[in-house]
Amino acid sequence: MLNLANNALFIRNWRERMRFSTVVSYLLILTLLIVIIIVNAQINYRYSEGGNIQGHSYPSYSQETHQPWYQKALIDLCALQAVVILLFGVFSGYKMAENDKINGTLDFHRSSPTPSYIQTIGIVFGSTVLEWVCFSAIFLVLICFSFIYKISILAILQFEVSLVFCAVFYHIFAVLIGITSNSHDNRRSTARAFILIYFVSMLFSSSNLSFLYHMTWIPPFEQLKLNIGENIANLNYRYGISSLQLYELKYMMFGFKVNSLILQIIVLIPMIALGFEGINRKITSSEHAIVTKGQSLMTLLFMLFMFLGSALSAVLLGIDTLNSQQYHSGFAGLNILPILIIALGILGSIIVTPTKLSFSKGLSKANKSGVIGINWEDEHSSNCYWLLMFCFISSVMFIFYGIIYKATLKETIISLIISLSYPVFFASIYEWFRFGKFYNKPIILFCIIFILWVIMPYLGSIIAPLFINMGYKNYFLAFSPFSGAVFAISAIQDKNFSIIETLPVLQVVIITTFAAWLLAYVRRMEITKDILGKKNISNIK
Amino acid sequence: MIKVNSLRVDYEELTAVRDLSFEVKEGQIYGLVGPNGAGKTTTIKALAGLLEPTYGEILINNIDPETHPREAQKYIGYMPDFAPVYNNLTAWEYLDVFAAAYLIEKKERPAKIKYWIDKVKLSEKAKVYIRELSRGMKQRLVLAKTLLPNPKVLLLDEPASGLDPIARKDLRDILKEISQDGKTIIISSHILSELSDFCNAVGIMEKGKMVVSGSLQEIRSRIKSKGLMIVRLAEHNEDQSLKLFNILNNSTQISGLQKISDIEIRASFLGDAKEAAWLLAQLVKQNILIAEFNVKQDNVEDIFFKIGAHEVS
Repeated sequence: MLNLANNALFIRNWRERMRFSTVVSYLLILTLLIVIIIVNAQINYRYSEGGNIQGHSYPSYSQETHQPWYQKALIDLCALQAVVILLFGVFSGYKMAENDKINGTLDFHRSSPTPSYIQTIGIVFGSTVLEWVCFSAIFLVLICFSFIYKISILAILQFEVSLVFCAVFYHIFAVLIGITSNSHDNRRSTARAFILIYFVSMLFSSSNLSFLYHMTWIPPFEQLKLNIGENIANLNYRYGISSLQLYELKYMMFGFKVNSLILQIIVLIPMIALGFEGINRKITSSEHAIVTKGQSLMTLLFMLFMFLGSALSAVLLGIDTLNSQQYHSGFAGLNILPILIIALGILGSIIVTPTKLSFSKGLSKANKSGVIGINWEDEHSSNCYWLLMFCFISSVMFIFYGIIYKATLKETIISLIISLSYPVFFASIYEWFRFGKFYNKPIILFCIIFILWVIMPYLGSIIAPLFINMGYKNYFLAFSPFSGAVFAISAIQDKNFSIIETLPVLQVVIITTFAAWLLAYVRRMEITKDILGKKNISNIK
Repeated sequence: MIKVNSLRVDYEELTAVRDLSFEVKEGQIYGLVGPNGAGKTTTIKALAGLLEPTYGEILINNIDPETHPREAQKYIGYMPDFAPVYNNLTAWEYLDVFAAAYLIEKKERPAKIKYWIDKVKLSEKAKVYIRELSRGMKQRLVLAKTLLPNPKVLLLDEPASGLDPIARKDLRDILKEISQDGKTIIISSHILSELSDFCNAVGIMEKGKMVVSGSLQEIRSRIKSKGLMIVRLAEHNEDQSLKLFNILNNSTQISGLQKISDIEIRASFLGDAKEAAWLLAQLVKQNILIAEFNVKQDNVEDIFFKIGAHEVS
C-alpha cells in the first residue's frame, strides 16, 4: 500500500517538486532561516543576561531571563517546522490537487486500474513531499540540538508525532478542497480554500473544549513548552475561571486527564479517515458526494460524543453548571449544543441532499434492479430518512446533556424541538428547491432564506416597541436559527425564562417545519411518479 | 466487445445522450460521427467510466464499468479531445507516471516507453519538458500514454482536433497501424474525412440519439447508397463500346447509365465489391479492353450528409 516508488500520483508530484535545483534552493533558504533563528536566540539571551551589548543599553526581557537561548531557539525551530509543514504543506496540497483536477490529468488516473485508495495516498503525500523533506531536515537539526544541549528527546518526539498527525489532517482537507474545485480562477479559489481552512482552525484554537482544541496545531506547542520546562502559567485568564482550570479542561475527556498526544490521535484519526474517504470517493467518481449519508451520521455521532466528553469534563471541573453566576462561562455544552446541532444539521443537509438529477438516477437504478425505492443510505436518496436519523442521534445526545446538567424533562424537550426544527426546516426547503425547476438559480433559495432568517427577525425587532406583549416579537424572531438558538439555550438554562416566551417560537417552528417538509414530500412524490410511471426510462422528456 | 443499451446521460441542465444503443464488435474501428454537441464526448466518457449514466447499460468485454470500474478499465485506453499533460514533466517522465498508473512492472517500463515514444515519433523530445512541446506533439504524447498499457479497447475522442495537416496525417498513420493489431477502436470526430480512410463501422449521432449505426456496408444498403461506377476503354472501338454498354445495361445492380465520352461510361452501382469483381470478369471475358474500372462507394462523409438534419442536442 505504501509502495510510493510505484505510486503514479506520488511519482508525478515527486518528479515535479523534487528537481535538484528546487530542493537545493529550498534547503539553502531553510539553512539561512535556521541560522537566523539560532543567532536571534543567542542575541536575545545575551540581552537578558548582560543587558548591554556593543555599548548600547537594552531593556532586559524578564520572561526570558530564566530561559537558556537554546530553548528559545528550539521553540522557534519547531515553529518554523510547523509553518513549513502546515502553511506551505496546505498550500502545496491544495495547489497540486487542484492542478490535477482542472487539467484533466486526474481523469487519466481515475480511468487507470490503480485502486483509488493508492491514488489518494499518492496525491496526499506526493503533493506535500517537498515540505516533508524540509520537515525532516529541521527534525535532524532539532535532534542535534537535543543531544548537544541535553534537551529531552521525548519532548521533541512528542511534538514531532503530534505535528505529523496535525499536518496529515490539514493536508488531507486541503487536497480534498483541491480535487473538488471547479474554478479556473486559481488565485480566487486558493484564497477561498485558505480562508476556509484557517478561519475554522483559528476558531477551534480559541475553544477551551478538548475536542475542538485538539483539531488545531496549538496543543503540540503547549506540550513542548511544558516538557522543556517553560512556565505556562501566563495562559489566558477569562470568565473568572483560573487558568489552571482552563488548561486542565483542554486536556480532559469525560472527566479523565488524557495525554495530549493520545487525545490528539483520538480526535484526529477519525477526522483523517473521513477526509481520506472523501478523497477516495471523489477520485472514484467526481459525481459522488464527499461522504455517504451513513458516514455523515457517524461523523455527527462522533462529534457529539466527543463534545459530550469535553462538556462533561467542564461539569466535573465545576466550571460549567446551570448556576446563573457561571452562565456566561462560554464552555457550557448547553450553551454550544443547540448551536452545534443547528449548524451540523444545516451543513449535513447541504452535503447529503441530492439534486433532482441524482435523485432521478437513483430511482431509475432502483427500478432497473427491481427495487421500488432507493436505499436510504444511498447518496441518490432523499434526505428524509437521514433527517430522521439525525434527529434521533441529536435527541439521544441532547437528553444526555439534559441529565448531566440536571435540566427538567420539559425544558429539555422544548429546547430540543426548537434546536431540531431549524435543520429539519432547512433540509426540507433545500430538498424542495433542489428538486424544483429553479435548482440552478441559488439566488432564489438565498432570497427565501434571507427573508426568513434576517428580514423577519429584523421586522420583529422594529415592531417590538409597538406591543407590550413580547410574545408578538417572538413570532418574528422564531424564523431565524440565530435567535432560535438563543431561545433553545434560554429554554433549557434560564429558570426565569417563561413558557409564554417560547410558545410563539414553538408554534412558528413547528408550523414552518411541517410546511417545508410537506413541500419537499409533494415534490419528491411528483418526481417518483414521473420516473416510475414511464415505461422507457431512458427516453424521459 | 462493446455493448451499449438504452444509455441516457443527463447533466444538470440538459440531456446529452438519450436512448442510445449500439454495438461494436471485436477488432472493429467504429467512427462516432456527429455535429458538435451531438453527445459524442459524453458517450465516450460514459464508456470510459468517467460519467455515471442516468440510465442504461454499458458492457465492455461483458463487464459493466459502472459496477466493476477497475475490471473494465483494464481493457480501456481513453484519450480526450484536449491533451491533459503535466507541463513540468518531460515526455519520458510523463509516460513513466502513467506506466505506473497502469500497473506496468517497473523493469518493463523503459522498453515499453521507448517503443511507444518511437512509434509516435517523439524520441528526440523524450527529455524535453512537455511545456516546450507543440500541441500536436502533446496530442501524440497522450496517444502514446493511451497505448502504453496495450488496451484492447481504445476510446479516442476527437484525437486530431487542433492538429495541423502533417500531424493529422501522422496520427492517421499511427491509428491505421494499431488498428491492424486487432484492437477495438471507437473514434469520434466531426471531421469526417479523418474517419473515411480506416473506419469499418460508423454510428451517426444527432441531438444525443443514434441516427444510424452499423458496418459501412450495412448502412450503405440500409440507406440504399449507390456507388459511382466509372469504366474507361483502352481505345475507341464501336464494337467494344456497344458490348460494354449492353453488359452494364443488363446488370440488375446498375442504373442511370451515362455515356460521358466515346471511351468512358458512368453509372450508379448498387452492388458490393464482389459483384463489381464479377462484372469486371464478365467484361474481360468478352475481350473488352478495359483501361479503368472504378467503383467509388459512399464514404463516411457522404453517408453523414445523406442522413439527417445534423442538429445538436
